[in-house]
Amino acid sequence: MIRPSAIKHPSSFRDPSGSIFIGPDGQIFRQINRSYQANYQTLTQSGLYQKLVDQQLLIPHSETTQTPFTKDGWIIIQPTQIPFISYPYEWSFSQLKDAARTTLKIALTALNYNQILKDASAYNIQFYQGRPIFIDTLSFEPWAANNPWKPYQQFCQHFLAPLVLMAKTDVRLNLLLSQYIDGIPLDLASKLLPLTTWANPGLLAHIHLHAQAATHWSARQEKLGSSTIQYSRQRLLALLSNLLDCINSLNWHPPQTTWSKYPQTHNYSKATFAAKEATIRAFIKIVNPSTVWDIGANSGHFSHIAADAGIHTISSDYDPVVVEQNYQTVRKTNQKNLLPLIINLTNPSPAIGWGNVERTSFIKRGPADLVLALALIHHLALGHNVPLPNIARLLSKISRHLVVEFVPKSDSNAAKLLQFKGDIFPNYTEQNFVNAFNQFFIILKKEPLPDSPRTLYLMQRKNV
Amino acid sequence: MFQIILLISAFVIVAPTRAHAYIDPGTGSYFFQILLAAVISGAFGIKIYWQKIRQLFKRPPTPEKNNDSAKRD
Repeated sequence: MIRPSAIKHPSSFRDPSGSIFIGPDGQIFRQINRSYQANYQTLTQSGLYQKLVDQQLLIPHSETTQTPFTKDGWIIIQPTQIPFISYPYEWSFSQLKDAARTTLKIALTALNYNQILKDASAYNIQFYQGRPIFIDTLSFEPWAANNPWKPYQQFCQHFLAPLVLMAKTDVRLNLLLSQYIDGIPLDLASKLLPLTTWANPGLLAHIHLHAQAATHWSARQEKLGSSTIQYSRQRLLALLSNLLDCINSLNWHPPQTTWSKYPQTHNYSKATFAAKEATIRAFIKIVNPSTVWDIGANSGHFSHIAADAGIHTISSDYDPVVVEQNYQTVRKTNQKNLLPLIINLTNPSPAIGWGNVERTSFIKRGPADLVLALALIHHLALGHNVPLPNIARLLSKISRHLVVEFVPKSDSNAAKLLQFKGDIFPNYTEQNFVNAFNQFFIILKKEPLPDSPRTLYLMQRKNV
Repeated sequence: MFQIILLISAFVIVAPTRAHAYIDPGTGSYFFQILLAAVISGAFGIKIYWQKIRQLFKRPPTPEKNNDSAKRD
């Protein structure tokens, strides 16, 4: 029986081996086409699939009896569902580094089973239970001697180039990935890196000389000839190991920023902070959400309240330093319910790629059952001049329930925002805040914080 | 330092002439990879050899640990 309501995912069209389909309830299915049948059977029967699943490197799946959705289909498999799709340009340094290591570990393991990865795209990785996992089950093919690793340039552009740029030039250069959907071009990366990187053999080879070759070399069929290519298993192992060593050697030492110092610079007294925590905990219990987005989360202190309660939580901030700190905590504590991401709410990830639908915008990946907008509103309104009704409208798009902290102009940190601008916001009052949000939400609870002019509100979106 | 000199020398010797091709099918990267793998393969082989030697001396003779990457040479 063909389900007419299953539609092909807009990002899944480049691979003739198969495609992703979305079922009527949003479930993800992967159709394997006849052309990939042999490779798939090799993957599963050789033991490679089980080995990678046991090591939590590859997403597990189950085979279904569902009839294929198209004529060239062979079977439908259902992978373990990923609760939230994120993209490489939203990841912190260590998230991207871990994703790169996962990819290479898979390539090295596959070689022990006489198979190889045919793709090394960063979009083949998603975060699941706090760690990167490879999701493209159709990316394996038999290894054949005297063939170079096809995705070498792709790996260098998707993983190595952005990581080196983040580590050696500026951590914000990962955002180039949202413009360059095939990874950062090697010649661009080469130009942007400091000259000292030419003295690092790994970077000299995989970035700088690679860039020269990719840009300037042409085919020399008459000189080398395809039949005379020597490329043994040892050479491939050497290349993959060398790439892994290169990735492992890259480190980013986050500088202190305004936001990483926030635990020391915020203006909450101990009592206020404790009351804030208790109130948020209580609000989360009332809503009992299945998903939480904590926006402007800093290093995720309040996100952890939701995550510790077993709720899948996205913890986003625009400062890459605090997102990195958050991820390192997630790793250290083995937190399975928290995904830190770099998101700028005033310019969230747009929809990009083919037809502008290949990669979904941040907003379209919602709404969340509950959004936490703590110590945030005054930055949007007073720092970025976004009127309260506009803030309310955006928050109503991404949340079914909302915990929002109103910070009045009298608050010492809010006052700092107006220090040089002057008070040009006569409409920024608590009453206007309530009026603006009443357009979209029903206010369920209001809790003024002790020793503080700030107030926490719990709201429910109208027409949930 | 030696590695750098070796890399650059190999690169300069093998570098083909420029050509403005209609499309970029990735041939530059393709041939570069073949060259690079050849250059680093020797050093890699030595590294694996020494790892094997070190392992032999690290513990009493028991069934050798499944060192995947070495086994397959």
